[in-house]
Amino acid sequence: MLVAGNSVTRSFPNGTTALAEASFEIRAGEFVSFVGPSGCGKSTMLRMVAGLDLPTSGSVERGGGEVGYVFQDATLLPWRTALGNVVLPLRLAGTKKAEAEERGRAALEVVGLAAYAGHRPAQLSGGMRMRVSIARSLVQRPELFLFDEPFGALDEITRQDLNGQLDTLMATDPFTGIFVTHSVPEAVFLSDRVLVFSSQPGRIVADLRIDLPRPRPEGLRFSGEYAELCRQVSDALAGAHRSTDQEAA
Amino acid sequence: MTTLLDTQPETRTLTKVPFLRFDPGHGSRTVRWVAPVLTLVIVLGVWTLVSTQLLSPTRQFLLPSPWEVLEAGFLEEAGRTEIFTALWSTTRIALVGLVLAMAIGVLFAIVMSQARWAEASFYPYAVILQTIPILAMVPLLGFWFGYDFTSRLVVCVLHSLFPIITNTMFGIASVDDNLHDQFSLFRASRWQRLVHLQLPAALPAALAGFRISAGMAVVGSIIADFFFRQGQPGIGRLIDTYRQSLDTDLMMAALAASSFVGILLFLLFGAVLRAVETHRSPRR
Repeated sequence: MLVAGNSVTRSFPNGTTALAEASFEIRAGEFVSFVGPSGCGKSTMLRMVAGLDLPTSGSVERGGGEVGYVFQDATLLPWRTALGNVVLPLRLAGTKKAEAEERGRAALEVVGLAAYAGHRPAQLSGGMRMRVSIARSLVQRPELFLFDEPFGALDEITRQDLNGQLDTLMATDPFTGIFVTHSVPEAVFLSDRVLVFSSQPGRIVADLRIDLPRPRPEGLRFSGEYAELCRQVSDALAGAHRSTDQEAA
Repeated sequence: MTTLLDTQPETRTLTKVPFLRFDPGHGSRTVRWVAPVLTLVIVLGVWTLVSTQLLSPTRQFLLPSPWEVLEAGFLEEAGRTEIFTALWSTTRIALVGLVLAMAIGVLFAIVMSQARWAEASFYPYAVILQTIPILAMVPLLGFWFGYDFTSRLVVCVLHSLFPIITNTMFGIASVDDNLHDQFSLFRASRWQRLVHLQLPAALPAALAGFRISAGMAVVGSIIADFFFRQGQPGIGRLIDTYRQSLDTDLMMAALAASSFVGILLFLLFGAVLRAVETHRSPRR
C-alpha cells in the first residue's frame, strides 16, 4: 500500500462539506483517477495526499519518498528558462549545479523538449509549458505522482497528445499516480482504476477497474471496449448526480 | 403568439454586419506623437502672445516669452553654467537619496512581508509618516541634522520612501498561491522562498515603485535645498535667488531644468520595467 485515505472528512468554515467519510487505498504501481463533478472534493483529497491541506476528521496516510505534484496551471517561474525551472527542485534540495543540469536535461528529453532547454515559459505553448512542469516533477524521481487536472486548460488535440505521452512514460518507467480530472475519456485512457466521486458532500461512489494493455494500443479511443468502459464511468457519475439531486429535493 | 422564428428567412433583406467592438482609443502612432507636439506648439504660441502682445512692457517681466527663457537660461553661457551646476548638485542628492530609499524601502518591505508582527509593528507608522507634509518636518530636521547635505538627504529619503515600501510589499504579497504550494512541496526554506520566488516575482512592482519615487526624490531634493542652505547651492536655492532679483526668465529656465532629471529617471525606470515585463510575458 502506498496511499490510504481513512474516513476522510473535510468541511470548510463557510459550512460546506467537500468530503464526507471518503476512504480509499492505492497500491504501489497503480495509476488511479479521481473523477467527479466540480466541487466534489477530488482536488481537496489530492491536496491532502500531498500535505497541502488537512482533513477535518479521518486521516490520510502515505509511504515516504518524493512526491511530484503537477498543477492545472504549469506554475513555472517566468524568469527562469525551461531547464532552470526543471532543475529548481534539485537545486533547492542542494544538488550540485552540474548534476542537476544533467538530470534536468534528461527529464526534458523524456518529455520531448530537449531542444527548448533555453526557452523561457513565455516562449513556449501551453502544452509545452505543461510538459516542462511534468519534467520538473520527473526530475525528482518521485515515488508518487499527483496530477491536479493538469490538462484541463489545454485544447483537445494537445490533451490527447499529452495523455499518450503520459501513457508511454508509464509503460516504459512505471510509477504510482493519482490523476484528478473531470474528463471521463481521459480517466479511462490513463488509469488502472477510476474512483468516482459524488458531490456535496463528496463521497466515493464507485471504484472501477480498467483492464487495458499498456502502452495503450493505437486506435483504442475508437474501440467498443473503451466506449463501454467510458459508459460505465459515466453511469456511475450520473447515478451519483441523481442521488444528490434527490437528497436536495 | 410570436415565436422566435416568425418571418420567412427567405423574405428578409440582409445588411452588412456593423462592427460593434468598443475601442478604448489608443490611437495610431502618429496621433501619439503629433498630439502632444501640437499641444506644446499651441501653449507656446498663446504664451508668446500673452507675453509680447497682452502685457505692457513694464509688466512683461512677469511672464517673459519662451524665447527669452530659452536664451537666458540655456543659450547664454552665464545662466546655463549657473543652472546646470545647481542642477547637478540637486541631482546628486536626489540620486543618493533614491538609492538609500530603495535599499531601506525594499529591506522594510521584506521584513514586513516575512512576519505578521513586523508588519503590524511598522506599517501603521509608515502610513502616518506618509501623511505628514515634508515641509512641516523641515524645521525639526534642521535642528537634528544641521543645514547641509545630511538634512537634504534625509528629506529626500523620507519623501520618496513610501511608494517603494508599498509597491514592493504588494509585489511580494501577490505571488500566486500555486507557486507558493509548489515551493512548499519542494520543501523550500524561508530564505529560498524569498530569494527564488518572492523577490523575483516582486521585481516589476518594485520597479513601478522606484519609478514613482524617482520623481519624488528630485522634488524632495529641491524642497530640501530651498531650506537647508549650507554647502553647494542646488536648483531650489537658485530659484529663490532669481525670485529675489526678479529674474523671471532665469527662474522659469531653472524650473524647466529641474524637471529634466525627474523625466529622465521616470523614463529610465519605465524602460527597465518594460524590459522585465516583455522578458516574462508572451509577445503580443
